[in-house]
Amino acid sequence: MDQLDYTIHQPARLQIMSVLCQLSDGERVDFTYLKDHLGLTDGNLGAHLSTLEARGYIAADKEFVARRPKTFVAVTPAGRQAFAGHVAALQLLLAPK
Amino acid sequence: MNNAQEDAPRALQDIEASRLAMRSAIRAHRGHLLLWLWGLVWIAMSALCRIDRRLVAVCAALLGFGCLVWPILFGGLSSYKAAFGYSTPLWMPLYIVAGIWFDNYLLWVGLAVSALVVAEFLLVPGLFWALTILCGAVLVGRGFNVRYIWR
Repeated sequence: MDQLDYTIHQPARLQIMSVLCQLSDGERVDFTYLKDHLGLTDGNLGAHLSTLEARGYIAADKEFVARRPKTFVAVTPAGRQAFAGHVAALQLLLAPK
Repeated sequence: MNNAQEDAPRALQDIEASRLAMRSAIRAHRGHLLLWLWGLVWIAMSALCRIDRRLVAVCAALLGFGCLVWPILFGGLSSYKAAFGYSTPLWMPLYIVAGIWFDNYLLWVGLAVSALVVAEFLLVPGLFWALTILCGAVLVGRGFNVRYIWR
């Protein structure tokens, strides 16, 4: 049975995972896009991404694009699975008994 | 647990809102309107032109690359380096169009190299070096064929 994942359940991380899980395998978004899309600050988003990365739910790659450092973020298969499990657990909580 | 139960509707609503916002951003980002516009322009052109088999073949080839070959190849790549590695099919429509219009040995070169790149990408994506040898061999072989055997 799927259980709530309290790493994902935090509102900002829930939004981050929702957004990243919309991408196809191999697709990723850059940090600035994600920050603007979610309306978070640099520090706030960075902290949440670190938490998710530590759990292995996302992968962050730093690259230089036109000589500027850019961070790209993608969901991992484990993250996708955890998010799907979390959504299933939420739906189960609301299901009539 | 009770907190979680109270939070659950809000969390599901947030997930749905994020999903819709991201879908909308993806739709806007992928430029489907531009594709529709140019697709209609091409179709309108074919209606305005005298039906010419070559023109129809060129349109079909370009649509095939735009709708099939490029999305398969570049939609599945995750880095600029990989995109560069698989960039050969970007130029193959030129061979195909020139082959259709002028002389068909270029057509077969374009088709063969594109088919090899797509097949390699789908079947053995880790062996790009082998593909480059194979595609190079196709071009060299076709060169010999044109020089010594063709016509």
